[in-house]
Amino acid sequence: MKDELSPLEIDALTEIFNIGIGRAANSLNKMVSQTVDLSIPEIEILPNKDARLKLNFAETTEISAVSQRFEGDFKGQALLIFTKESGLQLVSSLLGNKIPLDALSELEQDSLVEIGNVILNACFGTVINFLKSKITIEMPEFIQDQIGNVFVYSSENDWSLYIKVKFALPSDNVEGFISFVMDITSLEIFQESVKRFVFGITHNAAN
Amino acid sequence: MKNLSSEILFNSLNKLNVGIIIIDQNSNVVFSNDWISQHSVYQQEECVGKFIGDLFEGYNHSRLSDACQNALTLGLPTKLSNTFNSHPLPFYHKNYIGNAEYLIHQQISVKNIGSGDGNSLCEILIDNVSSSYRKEQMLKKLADENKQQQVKAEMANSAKSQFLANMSHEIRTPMNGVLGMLELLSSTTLTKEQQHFSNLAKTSADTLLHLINDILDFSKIEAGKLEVELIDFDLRSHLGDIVQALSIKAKEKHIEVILDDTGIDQNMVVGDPGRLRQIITNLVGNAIKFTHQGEIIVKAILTQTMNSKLNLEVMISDTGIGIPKEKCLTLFDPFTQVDASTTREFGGTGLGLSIVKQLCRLMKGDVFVTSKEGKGSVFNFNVILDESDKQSAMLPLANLHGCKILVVDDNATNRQMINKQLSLWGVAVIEAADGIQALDILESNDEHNFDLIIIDMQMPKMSGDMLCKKIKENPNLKTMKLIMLTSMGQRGDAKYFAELGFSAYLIKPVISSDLYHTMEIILDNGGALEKASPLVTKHYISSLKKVVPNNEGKILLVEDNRINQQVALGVLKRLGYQVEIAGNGLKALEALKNEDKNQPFELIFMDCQMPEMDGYQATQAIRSSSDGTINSTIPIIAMTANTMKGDKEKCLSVGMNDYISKPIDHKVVEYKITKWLNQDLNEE
Repeated sequence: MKDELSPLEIDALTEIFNIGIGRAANSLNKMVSQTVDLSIPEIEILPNKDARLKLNFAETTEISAVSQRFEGDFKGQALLIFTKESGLQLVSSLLGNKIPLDALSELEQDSLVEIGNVILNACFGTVINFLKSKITIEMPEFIQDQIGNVFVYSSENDWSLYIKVKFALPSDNVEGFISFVMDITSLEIFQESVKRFVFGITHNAAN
Repeated sequence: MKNLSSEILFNSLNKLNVGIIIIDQNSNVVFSNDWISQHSVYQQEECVGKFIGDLFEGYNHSRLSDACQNALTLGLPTKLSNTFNSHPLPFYHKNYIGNAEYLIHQQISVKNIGSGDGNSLCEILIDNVSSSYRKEQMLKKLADENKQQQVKAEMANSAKSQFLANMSHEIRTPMNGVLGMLELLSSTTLTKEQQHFSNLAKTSADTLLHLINDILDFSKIEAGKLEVELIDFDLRSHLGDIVQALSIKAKEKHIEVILDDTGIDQNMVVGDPGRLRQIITNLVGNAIKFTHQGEIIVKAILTQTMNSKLNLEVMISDTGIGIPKEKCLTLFDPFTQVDASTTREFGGTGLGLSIVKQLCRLMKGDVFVTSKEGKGSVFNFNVILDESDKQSAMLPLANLHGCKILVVDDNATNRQMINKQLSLWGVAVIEAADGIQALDILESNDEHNFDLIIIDMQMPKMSGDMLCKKIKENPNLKTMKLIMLTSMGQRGDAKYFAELGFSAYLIKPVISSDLYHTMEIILDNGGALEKASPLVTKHYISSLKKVVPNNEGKILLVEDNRINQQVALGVLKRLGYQVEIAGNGLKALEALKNEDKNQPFELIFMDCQMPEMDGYQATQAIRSSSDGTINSTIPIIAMTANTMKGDKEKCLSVGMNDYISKPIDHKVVEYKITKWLNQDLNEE
């Protein structure tokens, strides 16, 4: 792939996603009585099949995911992925359940969708605000399946903007992963907009 | 689609069974459908054109208003779940408009629907999820109750197990009293009838104790209290000990127990020897119980696992009554026996196998059974053990010749015995009859004069431990190496004597090889002494690797049973000997006649019962051979399963030199070989 992002550009990307994620944390704190802290320790752009390996889940690991499709300047699918256990833990913790859940009920699934929606929207908002991208975004969907099946939804040749998200809850920590899955053309356009943004900042700073 | 007039589209939207509100960029209502007016205090025409925050209090600064702003400015769609926003807008059940107790549980979707003129519009879609909400509340309540019941039941169950565990302990204490007293009673003068009664009482008490132990273990497992220990132990000799103990019982029924440990190529491992004994005792004990004739084979294999642990697999096969196929599945469940009638015939709680299974699982293994009714059963279990770092120590080969040793013992016979033994090895011995005399000798001599001191424990005037303290107090003698040789061994002794400063601890009567190796280890003063923790003992010596000399002799093994052949072959090969096998006496004679004259046989292990020509006949033939084709004076050691009185005499009378009993113990084999191959040395 040509024109890979420089370390500076990756830093900038991490920073703007951190701003977005900070907003998401604010929204989450409004929703629930607990304090939720979100942080992004890691962002990477890599082939989607490698992103999947990075998750380090067995093929049969059950996952809960929230997905939103997008199209416009670039098109693809955004996924917020938890292991089934992490998803249960997060919902339990945010709802203040004393007894741990064995499975999500329909309404609880919707609450996980809402959490995912808040976070993914924050990311989309960041991309639209900072990178001036024109994209339209679809309603969130809930996916529960084995990881192997979830990744079947995208093609082998797709790329992923892979973001690790840490949820620091008062009682425990939960880890989730965001993956913006795009085809190579979309990725190049996306990277181009990141480069433009960083160039804008450094150019302005130079003046 | 073209046929659909906008009127039809409007109507369908209006009659939808979900609430729809469309607002413009200023958050003024552009459209609201029938559903809204049916479930709120407003009529349709009242809403249009008004600011939504004025219509519905609570909209302002809510997440719904944030969502609408996001949709209008950025085009982001939002889903508001009922869980986090149960009633964002005041909608009521149709018949209870305005009644706060009948608010509808909502789930809201917000999205941007661009209008043709370039202005964004935002659609708020309201779903009534009240019935789902009620259903889930009910299910949750049931689930909570269920869980509470379950927790209660678990607590009650574990309390029961705890009680059982405590009780069993309480019962064991008086049981030990009963057993002890019966033991004492039987040592007094009793009439024949009283003796009979006391024996019966003893047997019953033993059985009862056994049952209680089973129940105790079972309840401990149930209560999650059973833990496995991690101890360095010598696996091969441990297995040997276990099987030897069991074979006594088997011999009463004329069944042979064969231990095949050729699949184990290292001695020291880390694990729980006590629990391992329990598993094997239980399985072999069962095999003996249910076998009326034939043999029981205990085959052990030790292999490395992927994660550098050790997997011990043991297969116990018998030629007993067998187990019906359908019973094999439930055999390891608690309180299960093959059928109720076996309980009457064979006894037992039915807990044994369940405990075995739990113990195997506890040691990260499992147990299985395969069986053919009437043919016998095979129990297969495995446990995971750890590598021990103790095995790297080698038994050193120190030269005792020319050493000087002080022997302190009040008993003159003991002193002479040790003196004689040590002299054979070329050791100079000075004797002292008590501690005071010993100190005199030591203080009047140069400090380096003695290589080590052997001290008896029970002595008048000054006991062995007192003497040790005195020696260690003397700066000139502080580094002197001491061996404790006591006739009264007690638990915890090893630790006590190690702390005092003894290097080794042996119990009388001491086997001369043990004494020899102990002295070797101490005089070598190397790794083997360092690794002895807390000090050198009989067990420690047996755990050490022996240095296998390169030019060991050739041994002829005469044995008809193929399994016994393999077992003995394994033991002998491990000791470094070359072995040839002969299936019976005739074959043995043939082998001796055709032996390689450059490398003749030096020793024969001879089974007694064999087809065609038995061991007795073969020995007689060898001994009477005078034509020089056969070395007629070769040492012959009998291997016999018969340990009846008179067997030994029979073996010796036909000209055999020695005999060992089956199941063969590799330590015994080693000792006998060393004894007979070095016979000339010993006699010098």
